[in-house]
Amino acid sequence: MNEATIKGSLLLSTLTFVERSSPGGAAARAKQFVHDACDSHVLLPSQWYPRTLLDGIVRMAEGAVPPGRSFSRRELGAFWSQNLLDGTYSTLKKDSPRAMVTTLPLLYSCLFMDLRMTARTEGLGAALFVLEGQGLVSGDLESHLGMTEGAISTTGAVEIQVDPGPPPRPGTLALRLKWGIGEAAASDHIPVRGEPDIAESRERVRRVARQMAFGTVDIVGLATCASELARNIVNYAGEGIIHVEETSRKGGRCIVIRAEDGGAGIPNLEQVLAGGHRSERGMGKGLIAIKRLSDEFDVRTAPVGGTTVEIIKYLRKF
Amino acid sequence: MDNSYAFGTIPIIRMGGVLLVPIQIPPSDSQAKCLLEDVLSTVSRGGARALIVDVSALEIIDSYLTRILYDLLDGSKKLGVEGGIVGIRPTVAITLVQMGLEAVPAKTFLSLDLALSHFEGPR
Amino acid sequence: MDEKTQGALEGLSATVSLFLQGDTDTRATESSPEPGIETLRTRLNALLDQASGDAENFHKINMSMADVLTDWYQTLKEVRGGNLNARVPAGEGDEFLDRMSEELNGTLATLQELQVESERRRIALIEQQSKIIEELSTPIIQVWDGVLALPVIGIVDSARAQEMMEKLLDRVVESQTRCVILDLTGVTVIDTKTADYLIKMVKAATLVGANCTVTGIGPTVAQTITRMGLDLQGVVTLRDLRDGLKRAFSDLGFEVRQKER
Repeated sequence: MNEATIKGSLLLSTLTFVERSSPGGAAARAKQFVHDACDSHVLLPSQWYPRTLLDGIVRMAEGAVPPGRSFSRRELGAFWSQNLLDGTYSTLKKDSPRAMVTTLPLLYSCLFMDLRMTARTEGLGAALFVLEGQGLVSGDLESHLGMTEGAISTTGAVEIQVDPGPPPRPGTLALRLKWGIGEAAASDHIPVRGEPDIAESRERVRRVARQMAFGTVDIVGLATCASELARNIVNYAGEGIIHVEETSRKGGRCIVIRAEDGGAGIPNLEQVLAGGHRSERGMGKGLIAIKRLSDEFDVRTAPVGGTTVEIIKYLRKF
Repeated sequence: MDNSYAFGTIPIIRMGGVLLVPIQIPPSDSQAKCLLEDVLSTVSRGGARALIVDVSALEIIDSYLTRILYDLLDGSKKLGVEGGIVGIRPTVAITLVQMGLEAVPAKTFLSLDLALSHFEGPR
Repeated sequence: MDEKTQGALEGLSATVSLFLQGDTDTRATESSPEPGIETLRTRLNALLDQASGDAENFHKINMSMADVLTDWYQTLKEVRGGNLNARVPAGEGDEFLDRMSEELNGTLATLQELQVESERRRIALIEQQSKIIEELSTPIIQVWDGVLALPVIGIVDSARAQEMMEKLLDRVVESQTRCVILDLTGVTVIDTKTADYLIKMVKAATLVGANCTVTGIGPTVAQTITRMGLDLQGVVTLRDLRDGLKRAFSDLGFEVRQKER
């Protein structure tokens, strides 16, 4: 199977599916276009939205997008991983499927109108999108908005509004997307005094992670971190406490796990983290494992002050 | 060696010429020490051609547990008995790889059946 | 709101606008399949009939009529713009106008209910379709009993990579499939993250108990991997899917023979 065939067949099966579920001229026309264009470089990102994509392809077929303008896989891939809010997208997907559904037409507008888009989450339940492109200078804003607003849910669960104030840069448009915020932020504090608290820590961190709607693998990863942290406290300090908190940091919405103890500190911390120092009970491996499972990792240790290990895992990935 | 199961300890079950150790819950320090002693003394007594550790009941495997597995399997290997691990769950596998702890001291199997037939010796 | 409804509302508000500008013969003529809109259209036309037919009192009631019609126009515009909560203010004109406004509000309320429901259904359908699209673009193909193939197509972004890993491993364990072939024929360009994820996938599949081979590494990808200094130790790489299948058959104890004539 060559590349074009694979792409083409995937697209065709999707179009067939969409055609069956929403019969009409658009799907048939798009299908024809794909048949003709299979050898060109029309490429699809790995996740896409049939309805809007169809619209986009139809527009291409109708010549609304200049002929010869095609998107190489590189461009699309780059678009998706750089501009396309890799992390924000995942956050939205977890936080609010409705909000996610709302952004996709935005994204496709950008793609087919040659706009660049960046986005970042703003705390809980909000994200700021900045669109930029040649066609975006004043006057056309209404029509752009019209295009995106037309696809927006009107159930009130999601709100999209133009960001008030001057645009970040001339020729840009900033939109703020807000969605309903769920229950109050989760948090927990787990005293660790003995071996039974290790399992307890695992379970309670798991609970917070689940409440925050982390994926199954991430939940296991976080519970494993809790296990490592608790065990280190038990083995080296005897007693300590683990704080778990749902919050927002510079990277967005995240879980913060902080293990504190008043023990004797970790000697040779740098060596330990580099993997050079092997203590009898393998603490080095544990800390390194924790570091690899988290997005941000910080250790502070002193012979008198004890040790504090803090890890952060974002609800999205960079 | 008997097949009895003492509550709170980890059983060592003899199945033909194979020793099966199902780890249902993460063992405590003392349980882990006992297990290691029991397994190695059983193995050294001879008559077993393989040691299979079943971790399918474990939702979390941290570095401590990988250490236990290593001690069990590497120790047996040194005594001439091959080892196998059965039942590493998908999420656990991914986490182990993320942690960099994917080097296991034994062959891994999808199921106990497969592990047993792998170690089938001459009858 | 779907295009047809929007269009219909557009037509209605345009009619009112024209009427206010002096074209008293104008009526909303485009019928709509949507019962709510159709009722609105009839009501509006009735009101416009009343307004233009009453020539004698037209000038007298023209002011309040114009007000009401302006309200209607504004409300319809808002509704068209997506604010389904918009309603005509009632209790400001005479009895007839009031009644008309109330009925309009009633119609708008019904319209809102219908829209909310169809919106809900639309979102559900879209989510369902998205899932199917995802399935289509990360196919795990059972090429034989005990052999799964995962053709990797395109750039694997980090969010999808973990999902792919999970999905593959779940499938392997669930179906007890002992051989997995990760085919990279569809990958011409690879970045660090993707390569990293692919290697993780192979290692994780091995941990779970499957034999995992990687096939179809092209020269560009091979160069990139070497340049990145990635450790492919322990990962079995073969030239193409065919070789991968051969190896899988051998692992599973199958033998392929030509049928005797």
